[in-house]
Amino acid sequence: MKFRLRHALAVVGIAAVVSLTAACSTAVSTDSATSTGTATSAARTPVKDLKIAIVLSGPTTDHDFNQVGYEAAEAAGKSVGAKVAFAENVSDANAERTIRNFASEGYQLIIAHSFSFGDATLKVAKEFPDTVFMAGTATSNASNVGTYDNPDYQGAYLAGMLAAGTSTDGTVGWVSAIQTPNLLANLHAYEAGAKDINAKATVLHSFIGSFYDPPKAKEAALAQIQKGAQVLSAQTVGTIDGAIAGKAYAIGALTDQNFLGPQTVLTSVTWDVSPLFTDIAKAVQDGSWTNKNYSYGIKEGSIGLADFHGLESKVPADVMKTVLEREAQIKDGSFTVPYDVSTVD
Amino acid sequence: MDILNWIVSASGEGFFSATMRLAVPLLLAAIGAIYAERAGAINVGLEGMMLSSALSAALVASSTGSTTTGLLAGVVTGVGVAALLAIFTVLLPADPVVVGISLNLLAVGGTSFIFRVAVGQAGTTSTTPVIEASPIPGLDQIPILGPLLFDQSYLVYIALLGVVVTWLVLKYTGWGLLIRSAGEHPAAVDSLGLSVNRTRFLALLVSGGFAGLGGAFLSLVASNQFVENMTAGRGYIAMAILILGQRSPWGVLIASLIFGAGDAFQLRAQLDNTGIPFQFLLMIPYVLTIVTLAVFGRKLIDPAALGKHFRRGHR
Repeated sequence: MKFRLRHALAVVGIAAVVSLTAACSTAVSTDSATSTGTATSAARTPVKDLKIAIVLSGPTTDHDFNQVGYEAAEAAGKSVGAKVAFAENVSDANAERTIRNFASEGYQLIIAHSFSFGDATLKVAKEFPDTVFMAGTATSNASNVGTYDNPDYQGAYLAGMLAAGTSTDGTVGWVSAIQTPNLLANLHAYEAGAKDINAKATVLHSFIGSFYDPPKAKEAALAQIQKGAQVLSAQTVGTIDGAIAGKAYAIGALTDQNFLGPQTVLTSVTWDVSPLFTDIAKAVQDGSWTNKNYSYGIKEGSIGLADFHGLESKVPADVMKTVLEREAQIKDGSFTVPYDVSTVD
Repeated sequence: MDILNWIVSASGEGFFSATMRLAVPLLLAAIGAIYAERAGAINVGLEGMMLSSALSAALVASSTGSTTTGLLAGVVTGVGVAALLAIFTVLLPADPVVVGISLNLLAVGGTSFIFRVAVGQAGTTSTTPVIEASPIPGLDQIPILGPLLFDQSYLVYIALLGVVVTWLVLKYTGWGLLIRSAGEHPAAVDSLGLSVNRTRFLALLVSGGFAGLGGAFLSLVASNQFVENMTAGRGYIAMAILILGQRSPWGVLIASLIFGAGDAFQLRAQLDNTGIPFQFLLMIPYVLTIVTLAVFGRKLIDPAALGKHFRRGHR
């Protein structure tokens, strides 16, 4: 009997651990510290039959981070004539093995498309000095490890402006999975954007603790709507479902997510990483690749707002005008979106 | 009386209705598992059954445009996966935990594969019709109980009906007695010329059907789409709920409501600038479940023959 109780406790405990692992495993990834590293000047040997591999932490069908990366790798491969392979749903524990597999199979450019694959990439890179590695972020860089980032916080600023300007009282929401530097930069910029348009704007934020739990995200969205949020930034799948059910508006993230709620999704902050991947692939081919941090934002055309699909009318005209002006200022460099990755409660 | 005001306020009602919505998928899976475990068959495959059903419900509902058909597809899928589990663990003497876990892993890969074959790389079942809430006029105005029980989708009413029916079946029907006997003293069942294994097989199928409803709830009510691995461990939580509820329908109802309330509470507490880290708030439903189990779980008694393979003529 005593054993049964312990057994029962173990089941609950395992369930709790499983659900919290996601929160812990990615929370440790650090800021893109690599940008401070020095670029090597020595030119690399040009690569003839380039083979690109991309390692993804989630499915290629998530309409989100992993899909953007997968499609960009495919696009880059097509435009430079390289073969592309991918591995999806790779857990942090499996990252090193997967990356090493690709390296030993002769892929000359390996993209570790996650903010938590940095250490694994650095480790494998030491064993394959002739292979070029690109990591989402890493704590340091090496002669053959470069990094890239997703500066979608720049778009989040515009989203915050749109949201607070569309909300009648400035109360807006933001639903996300967990705290990563990228998402925190996104949240802070969203807040700054909201305050830019309405100094009294209130930004509610929720973290649901895992990346793919739409029912939970929907409930988080509904809780925010009940609390008065009228426009939600959908940083995780399911938020838009909540906005539909709670009759609020949403702003999609990373891909044009209007199809998830044609009457609900005002626009989406899109991220197109294919110019970045294509440039890197070309640089590896002609030997001009260097191990710096590659950052393509609004200015470079990688971050932007998707089509409004007829919902422009829901955004007050003066708000829309201000938003477009800001976007132009970010493009010409006269305005810089604040970058803040401090943690929040 | 702040509390009383809060209970009837919009945010109070929101809390109670969210509690039920968060509890129902767990409740459905756990109710079904009562049949299986009381009959002596362990069902570790709840997660896989829910995930498979979430997919088939979404696919069928979006292709036929009918949520009812989708729901039925979810139930059939749940029963199908349960049949697989039953073949291996009831008819063949395979370890139920090993087979259950294997089925869960199979479901993760299998559903992802079928989903992509069905809708393509960039595809989605976002056109999945949604089952809307259908409040019961009058009853939905009762404080607490109204938003909790009577302002929900019909799937919630089915779940509540499932609690009552399961209680009646187990307590007052011959089949209920047969189920309990198969779990407590299979040799006695056998000596009466009744089949232990047929009872267990059927009980597992019922469990699969309920888990199927729970899975369909996830893709047809709790969100408007199927997303790979969207059960997010709910099948395992349901197993914990089953044990916490002491394998009784009413216990399981209360246990799942405790978990749902914890979850609904933490989602709201995150918005209140309490200064408590969100990671801690996310733990609340789990901590609540562990604490409740530690306090009230002392008289937990498993069915005597739980997980023991039965072969006629063997001891």
